[in-house]
Amino acid sequence: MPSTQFVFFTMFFLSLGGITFYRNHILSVLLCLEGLMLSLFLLLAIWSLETNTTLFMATPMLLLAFSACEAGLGLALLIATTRTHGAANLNSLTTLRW
Amino acid sequence: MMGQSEHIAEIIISSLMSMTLMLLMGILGFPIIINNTKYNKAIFTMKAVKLAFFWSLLPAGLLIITGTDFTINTWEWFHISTFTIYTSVKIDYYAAVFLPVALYVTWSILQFALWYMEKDHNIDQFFKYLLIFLISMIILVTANNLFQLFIGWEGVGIMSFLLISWWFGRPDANSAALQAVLYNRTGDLGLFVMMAWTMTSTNSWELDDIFLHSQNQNMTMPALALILAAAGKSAQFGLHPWLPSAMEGPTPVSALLHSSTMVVAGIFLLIRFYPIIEQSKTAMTTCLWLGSLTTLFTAACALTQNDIKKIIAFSTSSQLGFMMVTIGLGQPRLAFLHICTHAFFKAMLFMCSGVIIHSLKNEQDIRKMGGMYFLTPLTASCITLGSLALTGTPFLSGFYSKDAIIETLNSSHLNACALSMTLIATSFTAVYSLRILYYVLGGQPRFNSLSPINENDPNLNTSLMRLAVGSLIFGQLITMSLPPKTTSVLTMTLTMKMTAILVTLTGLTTALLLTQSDSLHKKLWSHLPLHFTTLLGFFPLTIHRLLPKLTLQMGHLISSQLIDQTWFKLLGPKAILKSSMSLSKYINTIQLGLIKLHLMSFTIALLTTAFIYTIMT
Amino acid sequence: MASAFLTHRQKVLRLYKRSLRHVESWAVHRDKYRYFACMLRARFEENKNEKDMLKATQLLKAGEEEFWDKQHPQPYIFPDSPGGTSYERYECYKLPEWVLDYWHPSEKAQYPDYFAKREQWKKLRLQTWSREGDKGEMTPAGGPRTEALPPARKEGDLPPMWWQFVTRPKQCP
Repeated sequence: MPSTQFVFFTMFFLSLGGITFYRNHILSVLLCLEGLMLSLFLLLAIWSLETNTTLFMATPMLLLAFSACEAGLGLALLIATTRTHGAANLNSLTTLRW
Repeated sequence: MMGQSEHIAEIIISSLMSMTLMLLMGILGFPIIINNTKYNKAIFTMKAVKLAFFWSLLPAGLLIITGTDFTINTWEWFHISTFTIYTSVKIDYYAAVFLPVALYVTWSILQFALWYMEKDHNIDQFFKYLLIFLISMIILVTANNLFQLFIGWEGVGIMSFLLISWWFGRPDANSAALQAVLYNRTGDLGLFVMMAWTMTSTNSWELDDIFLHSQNQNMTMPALALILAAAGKSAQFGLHPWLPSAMEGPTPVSALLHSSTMVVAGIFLLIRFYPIIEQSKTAMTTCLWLGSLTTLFTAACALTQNDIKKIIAFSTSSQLGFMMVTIGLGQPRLAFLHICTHAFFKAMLFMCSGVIIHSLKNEQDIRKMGGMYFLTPLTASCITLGSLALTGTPFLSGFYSKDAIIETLNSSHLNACALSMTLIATSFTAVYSLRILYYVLGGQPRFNSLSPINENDPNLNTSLMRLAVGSLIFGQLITMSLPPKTTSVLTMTLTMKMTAILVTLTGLTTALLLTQSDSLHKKLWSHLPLHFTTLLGFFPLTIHRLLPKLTLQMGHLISSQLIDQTWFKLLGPKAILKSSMSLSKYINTIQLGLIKLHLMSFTIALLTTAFIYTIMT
Repeated sequence: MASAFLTHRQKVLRLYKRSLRHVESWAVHRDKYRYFACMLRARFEENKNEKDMLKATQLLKAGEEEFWDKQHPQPYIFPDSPGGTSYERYECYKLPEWVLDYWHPSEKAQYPDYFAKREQWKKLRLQTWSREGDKGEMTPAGGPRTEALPPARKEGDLPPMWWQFVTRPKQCP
């Protein structure tokens, strides 16, 4: 596997792992989510450059816009959790209780 | 080819012998049946035994004069398909000499018991038990048949049980009786094996048939079984603790059962079955080793006991080991001779100890006796005589058997270790005999001044004198009138010939030196070797607790833990419980509802799919 | 003392008596025993006036350990005391008194005086049962202190539990 692809794939999977396996603060989840988006952005950019397709050269910008929206959404969720649960702990988010 | 007169003589003699035995049984059985007033029954019993003794002199006399040896085979008792059990009585050399000896000793002991158990309410029952014991012993001795022998064997075991626990209010007496029964039972296993073997191999339980059919077979197993039976009954090492515990019974019981008659039943069995035992080298060696180990161990234990009856009990055990050694050496006649001579002086020793105990108001500890030489001179003389006979003083009755055995021992080609152990035990004999004499007879009285000690009762005096006479002259009488069957070694060096006496004198001088050195300047003893022998080698302490504990633990393991808890619980309902619980516990952690767990499962599924995709393609 | 705890004095005295008995078991002859008994007594006497309880307890503990090491394996026990050769020997003859009621009349006729007296005793018992009092109510909590019977409720009455006393078996038949 070429080294650039390897790097970005690793970054993607590490960030994914960071999202799913973290126990503590939600903010770290959001940071990993940003990392995830970053790796996707870079992969899209490199892919469209490599394949010289002009159609998809705008997709990274699209992705970036959506990632900013979801970052804002994530922060809103963080504030909401802090308001209701008192602390932004990933462990306390459970569907069995309120 | 028999002539006419010899036929007639034979018929007369055989009829006389059979009549003797039937009359004996009738005389002895009579007191049990009739119902006299209290205490008269006891006197009647004693007179019956006296009469039986005089009757039993008849076969013995015939044996000495004419040398007859024969069997009576009366009738078929019952069949077990093809196996017939007879009732047969054998009066040969062994039975003919043993019967008068046993009856003489029993007569003296019963007369002594009239004095000893005078104040006892149940004296008639006591005499009845002793009589039943005597009848069982006679059945045992005159049996030509393993079944009849077994009847006598069990009879003496049961009567021993009943008599040891005579004062059954005492828990020690009950446990001692139980010990006697259990150890005898362990030995009975050997007798059962022997009976089974003869039933299957020789198809008969008659002694003659057994000896005939067992000529060329491998006899190790039945011989070892017989040795086990003898070890159980005669208190050899390993099955010996019941004998000192059996001193819980009254002194006449100790004198009759556990010194003269019952404990020699085992050795008597070996003597009867000697043709079987001598065919197996293993069995002979076992006899030798077991006997020498027993005699050394019990003589060592006797050195440090403080209860006079226990010292004499260990002395009996030591002499029984000695008899076993003799059988191992190949001299059944000498062993039998030792049985007979030993009966006299051991019964006398027990009776003298009974006199002393009764005079000192149930005091049995030699540390609190002393000076009896001046207070009971007749008893003191008899005790001295008995001890001298026990140690093998020349030309008393013990000498003829003991010295002959030691001579044979010295000139045989067998194991030197076993033989030297026996010699050491012989020297110990002198030591503990002197110990008894020194503490009981010598010195100043160490007991409180009590009610007057006397020996005025004629019952007591005559019985003691009778046994004293017996232990003086019996050895000489028998050796003169009944020559031995095998020739003994007649040429040996002076030292070898005098070994018995030298060894005894060594023991005696050592003991005398020890008494002299018992001065103020010595410290008190407190060392382990002393504790070893005083507590009987720790044998009863460990074995009596260890074996039941192991058995009960295993029983508990099997019944409670294995069956109840495992097979019924753990492998049935509890298994379902355990497996479903562990499963549900595991699933419980997944189904907590945490968001994190959902994310985690998503990631893991994704990664797994990617992994498989990359591997597959 | 009626409580369950022993005083220091009692413990020391018990140790002294036990060790004296064991010395007697070891040293059989009386003169030798007297020598060692005097030595033992001197050892006990030199620490007699110890006022410090801690030290006294330590001395007692050391003494008990020394006793355990040097005890005799078969100490001399008097025949009638527990563990002795003649202890409880005659228990088998000590039957309860109601067995006498089951005797056959022909046997009872052999002892007419005793059985007549016994009938009188039984009648007396029926009469005085209610007036006896104290069948265990007035004995102190730690058990009876003396061997004597407790006193009767009123003067002139029979003491309680006199029946057990009258019909007690003989010690040695």
